[in-house]
Amino acid sequence: MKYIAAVSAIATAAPAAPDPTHATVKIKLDFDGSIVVLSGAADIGQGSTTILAQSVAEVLGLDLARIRVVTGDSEVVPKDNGSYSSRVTFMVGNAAIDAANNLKALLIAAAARKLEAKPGEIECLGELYRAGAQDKGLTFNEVVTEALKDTGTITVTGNYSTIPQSHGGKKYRGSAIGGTMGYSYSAQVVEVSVDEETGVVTVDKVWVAHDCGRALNRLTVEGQVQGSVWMGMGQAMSEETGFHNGLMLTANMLDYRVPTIQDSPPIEVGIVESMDPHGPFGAKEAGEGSLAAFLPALTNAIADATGLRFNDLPVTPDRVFALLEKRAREVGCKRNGS
Amino acid sequence: MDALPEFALVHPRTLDELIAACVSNPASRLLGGGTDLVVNIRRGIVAPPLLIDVNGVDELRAIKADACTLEIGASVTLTELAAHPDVIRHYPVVAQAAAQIAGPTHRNMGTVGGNLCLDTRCIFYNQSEWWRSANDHCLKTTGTICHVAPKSRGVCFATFSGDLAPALLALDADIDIAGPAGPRTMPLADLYIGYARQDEPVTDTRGDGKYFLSLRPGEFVSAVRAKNTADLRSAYDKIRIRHSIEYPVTGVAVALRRDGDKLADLRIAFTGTNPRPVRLAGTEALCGGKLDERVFKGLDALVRDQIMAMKTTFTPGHYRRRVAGVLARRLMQQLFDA
Repeated sequence: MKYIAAVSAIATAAPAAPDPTHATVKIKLDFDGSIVVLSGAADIGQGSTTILAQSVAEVLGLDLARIRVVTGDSEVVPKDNGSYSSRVTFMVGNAAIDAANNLKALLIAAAARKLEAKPGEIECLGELYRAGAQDKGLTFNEVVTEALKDTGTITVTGNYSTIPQSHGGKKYRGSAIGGTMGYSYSAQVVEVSVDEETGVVTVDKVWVAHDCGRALNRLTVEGQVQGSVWMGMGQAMSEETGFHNGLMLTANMLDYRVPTIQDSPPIEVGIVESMDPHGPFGAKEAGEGSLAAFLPALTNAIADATGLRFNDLPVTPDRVFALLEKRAREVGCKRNGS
Repeated sequence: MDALPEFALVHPRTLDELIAACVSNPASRLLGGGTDLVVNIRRGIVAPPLLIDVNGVDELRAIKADACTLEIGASVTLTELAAHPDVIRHYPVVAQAAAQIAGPTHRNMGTVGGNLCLDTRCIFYNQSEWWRSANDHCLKTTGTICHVAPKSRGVCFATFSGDLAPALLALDADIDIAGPAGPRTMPLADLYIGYARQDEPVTDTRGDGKYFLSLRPGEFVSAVRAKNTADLRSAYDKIRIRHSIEYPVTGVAVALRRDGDKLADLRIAFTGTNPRPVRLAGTEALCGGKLDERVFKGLDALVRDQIMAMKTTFTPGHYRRRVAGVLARRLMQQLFDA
């Protein structure tokens, strides 16, 4: 049995396209102090709902337990472009911060009225609003009562629009897809074993370093980066479309082979923090940046192990086998002097 | 077609009730785990008006395993078989094959009888009703040509992919068959008639990918039995693109005996290649000497002659045939050296 182990590293930048469309988040505050964040951004397992709750709690200085997030029901929530292109934390997160700041301004104005002070003098400590350090101040619920006195339930809106950028002499705000503005970077090291008799490639270990700006939630960042590696593994090693007379042969979950946990190598995630001046609290993205890096890192590792370069993906065992055989034939021909 | 056509479901408690149910409707099908059948029903491949649940029949649920004999009831689940300590100890090839079938949830549901009688598979057959209809159907359903080999003159090449069959063929297993004409026993090898010979017509004893089992109307496999051979070493291995929720690209079972430094007995069986699991004929001629290049060359020749992998899966047939030989060679070496 012949096995060769090898290591290869690659760094990529996530594709990014600023977009003119913006995200909208609404926050509803009711008489009992309940705060409901309304967003069209669907949590598809990536943790975006947690990020929205965290963002609003952070701005208002409140415990997470006070925040409830409602997403997805388009009869209730504002329209959102969707969970794709690594955009939710960046765009919807910024909109949530904007909405929370708008709510905070109303609360501060209410506190100022009640405390007979100027809004600029009000200090917001989350559960306590006061006019100066000596003031015993108002509880959050007292402020809410004052704020709702004349209007009843309050709903505020927050928006985010991407920043226009100069691109080839024109003002450029991205295409209609509303892609991410988070310019993240990822470096990846992939260790593989190549079975030269069967063409089976085994990924033994993956190390990823991902620059996500400020990590708003380290647990979800780590999960997202692991998910990116699996997605990259699918593209690089097993997922494939094929057609017979225009009919897709692999249009089902059995034949379109998304990797399972059985195929997962140990993945070591390194979070590299930086501050993005436009990102929510300095965050960029952790959605897909590490997906792109897996593919070249894998093929480089296979090349390091075998000397073979693959220009067709996925690198399935039959493709590896075919190239190994081709090389063996060529070497054989040379030996025979032909 | 409906998403799930209407059918009656009965739950016999005894073997006699089960046989009576089979006889009552010739278009009925047995339901073990349903992991294969229900998928095919949903795809409109089959629409049995009566499903007969075999899981309530106690006579079919026993495993008897000791150092001398192995007997497995048809409704024993693959999980039970893979975990049975005496099967693992005395018949490792069977336990290993069972443990590598599909994914854990399939093994919890799937049964021994179902796996032994697993419907043959093909990329032109295991598709939706719409897909097959757009492709003019195929020989295995209602069509007139085989898309794998359009010049096959009425022969279907759909591939047998069960993992247990090669393992049990390597043990020279027998099967018990129940049916309206009373019980009978025959070699497991005689169950499989998918010879798919283009030079002779399909008959009751020599079939193809469509007529691949020799069961008569109303008959079903009730148990599989094998006798142990002293000092027999056995193992199973397979190639798959991903390591769960996958049919074998190719699977190989090897059983052998070593007498001093001589190979005394050799049995090899394959799955995932032909329309039947193939117990390699002619291996006796490879025994009697050391396990050397002469044996492996002989093995290669037998595989070349008897293993016929066509374009029935997304993975090319050439690759499946070649790695079948590689796996066999490796298992032989491992078992011989063990």
